[in-house]
Amino acid sequence: MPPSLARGRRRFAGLALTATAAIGTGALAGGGELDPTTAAIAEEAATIPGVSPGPAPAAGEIDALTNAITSGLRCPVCQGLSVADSTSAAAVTMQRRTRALVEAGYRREDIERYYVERYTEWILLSPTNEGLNKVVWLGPLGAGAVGLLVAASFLRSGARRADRAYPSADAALSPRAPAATDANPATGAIDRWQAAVLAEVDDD
Amino acid sequence: MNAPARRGVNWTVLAVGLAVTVPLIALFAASFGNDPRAVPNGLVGGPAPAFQLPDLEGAVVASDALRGKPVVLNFWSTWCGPCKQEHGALQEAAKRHPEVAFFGVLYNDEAEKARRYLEVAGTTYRHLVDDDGRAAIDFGVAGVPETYFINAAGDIVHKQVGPLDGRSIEAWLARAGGQ
Repeated sequence: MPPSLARGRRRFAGLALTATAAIGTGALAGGGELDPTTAAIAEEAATIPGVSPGPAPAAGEIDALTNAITSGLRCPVCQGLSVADSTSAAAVTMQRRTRALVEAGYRREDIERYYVERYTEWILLSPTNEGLNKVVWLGPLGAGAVGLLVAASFLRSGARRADRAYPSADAALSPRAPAATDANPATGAIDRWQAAVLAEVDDD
Repeated sequence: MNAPARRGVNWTVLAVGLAVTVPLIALFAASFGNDPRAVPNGLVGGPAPAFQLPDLEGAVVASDALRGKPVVLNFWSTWCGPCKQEHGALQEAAKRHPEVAFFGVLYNDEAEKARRYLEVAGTTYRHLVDDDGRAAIDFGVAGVPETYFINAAGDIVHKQVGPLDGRSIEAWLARAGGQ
C-alpha cells in the first residue's frame, strides 16, 4: 500500500474512532473528557459506523425483521444452526445486537454487511450470488450438463459399436450382405438362426 | 496365438478426468492447513473498531484515547477455563510491557463475578465490561478467549483464538510494535 494511502486510511480511521466515540456518548463533557457514566453507554443508540439508519420500522415489524435476518446468519459456536435457532451466548448476543440495529432503522442489507465485514461471508448461511460464489450456484448446473454430455457420448459410441457388431436384419438379409456378415462367425450364427425363425414363420 | 491389440490413449476421457480431479485435488490441498472449526475474521489487517466501555470501577475507556500505543484486548469470562489458563501469562506480559495498553474485556459475564475472580487471581491491567456484547460483535468475536493485538496506528495485526502463552504473546507484541 502506498504510504500516502496508508496515512490517509489511518487518518480516516482515527477520525472514525473519534466521531463514533463522540456520537456514542451523546456529548463530550467539558474539557474534552468523555462522560464517565456507564448509564450513558447503556443508553447509547445502536450504530453501524459510517452507515446512516433509515426510518425505524413499525413496532409490529421489528420481531419479524430481526428473525428474518438472524435466520440467515450462521451461529459462530454451533454446528449447522442459525443465530435465530441457537440459544448459545454468542447467538443471543447477536440476536440482541441485530434487534437493536433493526429498531434503530438500519436496513437488512446494512446489517448483513455489518456482520460480513466482521465475520466474512462465512457468517451467511446462503452465500451471495456474486463473484466466485457464482461457482457454487452454477456448479451443479454445469456438472449436470457435463454429465449429460458424457452419458450421451457413451451411448452414441456404444450404439456405433453395436452397429458394427450386429448389423440390422435388413442388411443381413440383403443379397449383398453375406460376404460382410459371414466374415464374422458370431454374426453368421445369428443370421442362420434368424433365417430359421423366418422360415418357420413362413411355414405357419 | 494373436498378440493383444494395442489400445491408444482415450484423450477425451483423460481430459474430462483431469478437469474434474485436478481442481478437487487443488481444493483439498489448499484446505489442508485450515482449521474447519475456525471462524474467519474480516477485520485483521484493517482498523480496529472503535469502542468505549466502562471498567470494573465504572470509569469509561474509549479507544480514541489509546491511539499511538499498541493495545492488547483480551475477551474473557469467568466461566471460561482456557481464559483462566492464559491469565497468568497475560499478567506477566502486561508487567513486562508498560508501553502496551492491556485490557481484559468481560464477555457474557457479570462484573461482580469478575471482581471476585480477580481478587483471588490478581491482575496487572484493567478489565472492561461489555454488557450488551456490542464490542465483542464489533470485533467479530465468536467465543472466548480471543485476543486482539492492535498496533499504534490502530490496525489489528493479529487475532488469537484460544489461550495464549508467554512466547506467543511476545511474538505478537513484537508484530504490534511492543518493545
